[in-house]
Amino acid sequence: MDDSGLMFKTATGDTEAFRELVERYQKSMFNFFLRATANPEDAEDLTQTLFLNLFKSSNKYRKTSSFKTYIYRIASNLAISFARKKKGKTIVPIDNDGQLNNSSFKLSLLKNPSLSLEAGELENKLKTALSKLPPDLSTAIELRVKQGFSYSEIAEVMHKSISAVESMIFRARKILVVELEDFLDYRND
Amino acid sequence: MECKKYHKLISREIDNEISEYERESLKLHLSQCLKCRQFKFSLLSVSDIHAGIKDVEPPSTILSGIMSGIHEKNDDWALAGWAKFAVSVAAVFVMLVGAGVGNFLAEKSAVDVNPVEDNIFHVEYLGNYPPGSVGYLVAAAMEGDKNEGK
Repeated sequence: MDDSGLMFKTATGDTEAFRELVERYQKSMFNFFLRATANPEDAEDLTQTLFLNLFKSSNKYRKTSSFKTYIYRIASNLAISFARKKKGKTIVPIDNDGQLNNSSFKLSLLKNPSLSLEAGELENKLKTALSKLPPDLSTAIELRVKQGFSYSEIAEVMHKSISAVESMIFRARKILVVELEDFLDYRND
Repeated sequence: MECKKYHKLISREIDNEISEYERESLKLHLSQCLKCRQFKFSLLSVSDIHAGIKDVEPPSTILSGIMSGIHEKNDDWALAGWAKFAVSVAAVFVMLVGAGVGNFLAEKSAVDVNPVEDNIFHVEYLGNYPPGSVGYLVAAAMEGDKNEGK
């Protein structure tokens, strides 16, 4: 049975159908929140909150878009509101062209061009940088790169225009490049 | 300024959200601009690293936590439903009892009340009419009848 069918059965009180939905999506949702928060406990709490909200509002579900878009819309809203509420979250001031206005945002990485990082280390640097992005930027880049959403799907999930999505993804990438620039090897050119 | 425009196109090209015309235009520019080629390499590298991050398995407590959470909610909803039913039944009961008590009291008061109002033309009413008026004469006659009856 497809996701929407399971959701409709959930609305009738079928908890087994709901369990099936949780099993299908818990991994992707947990990892979505993990990359947004960089904290497994927060990611677990957010994942549970997401599914409980989904269950509670199952009778309001209408098949106007794909279930994947629907669940990521709830997840995005949760991730963004969580990041905004969480104290100490670094919000990076950036202008419309994605230029950093605050150099102090830079991670305290060693500025050493000859530094050779293992792939895992570079991945960890990127994870840290991702979790420090402004919440809407990290959501947009996550939906594009990890979930394979098109710009129009991201626009639907985030209630933004396609040009806004394009801009958010570009700005996110520019920030990530700034964070990792010392570790990127240009010798290929 | 020219390069800034192409930077955005590079990001869109990575996501395959670019027209053929834009792709050709970008290709031409990249062939002439080292900085933009480096920028493209940087964006591609970051994207590749990001895409390569492997998903981890979620804690097993997530599923059990969610399922126990929804059962609690179900119980709450069931309780709420039962409570609504109980309140409805109680309301109907109160209305029925109220109606019964009302009827009883109405019947009781009907027995106690003397239905015969026998002295509506009491002599005191004479004072309401000027002597000699029709009202005075009628009232006086009625009063006289009463007194004779006694």
